[in-house]
Amino acid sequence: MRLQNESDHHASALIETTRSVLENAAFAMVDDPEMIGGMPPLCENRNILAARVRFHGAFSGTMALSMTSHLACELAAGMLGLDADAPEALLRQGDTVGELLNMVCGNLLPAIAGPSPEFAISTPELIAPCVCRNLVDAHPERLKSSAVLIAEEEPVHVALLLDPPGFTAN
Amino acid sequence: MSLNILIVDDSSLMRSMIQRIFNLSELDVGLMLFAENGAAALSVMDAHWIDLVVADLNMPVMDGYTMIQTMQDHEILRDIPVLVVSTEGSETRLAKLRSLGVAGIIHKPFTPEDLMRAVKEVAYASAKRV
Repeated sequence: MRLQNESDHHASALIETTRSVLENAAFAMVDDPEMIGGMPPLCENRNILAARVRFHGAFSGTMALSMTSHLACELAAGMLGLDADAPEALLRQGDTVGELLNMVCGNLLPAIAGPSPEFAISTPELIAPCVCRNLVDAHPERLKSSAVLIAEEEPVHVALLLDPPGFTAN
Repeated sequence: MSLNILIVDDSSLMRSMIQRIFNLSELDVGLMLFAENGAAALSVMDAHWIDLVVADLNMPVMDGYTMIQTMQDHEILRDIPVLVVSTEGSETRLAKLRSLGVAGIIHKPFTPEDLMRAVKEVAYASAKRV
């Protein structure tokens, strides 16, 4: 596994947390992940769904998760016990991406910060793929870790960005 | 006796997932009601007899902590068991929840078996108190 990011602990935690959420919440088959630098071409695809959460506490930052619309429908269907082409799965794809990101973030923060610190996590919001890419392009120094996991033979990208100390979001 | 259940989560996906788990279980479920936040949940509890609340913590408008605290301060609502379903990992906050008397805490992601085990433990504990 290639590790291009500075913190092996953060990287490992990001991968394992995302894998656990995809497997246990979405019942997805997850292959070996790959660490990457920056955002992958995934975000160029118009059929991508992306979500973002902000978190504040012992440290603050942003997490983003993106996947294809097709995968989001499959995972929604799995979580709800529906057929993959069920209309409700299509309707729930956005909520699926947001909720999976919520779970990844909620589980990742204690994994990297320990059990004591408290964090506030914002409600997940869907963002355009270009916004997802801009999260890193605008402030590459804030990217702490990012990885691409393969779930159900489709890529899932997850990224953790940390704010500089003393940073206050608008 | 049928259980009236209130599911509180700002994610419609999670509300549907939990509903599905209850529907597939052997539990005798009467009313199944839903709320997107703590404030809406309190309104539901004001209008309907609820036997069990399954609630997320991180919600807009009114979060789960505030809802649970409000229930504890109410002479009738304080007796309704609350199962918390959340990603919360802070030991400080989990200890606070336990001090508020929540019936159980289920960590997301959870399996249907996790939820049903917790519900049965709550139901057993409630029966012992009667």
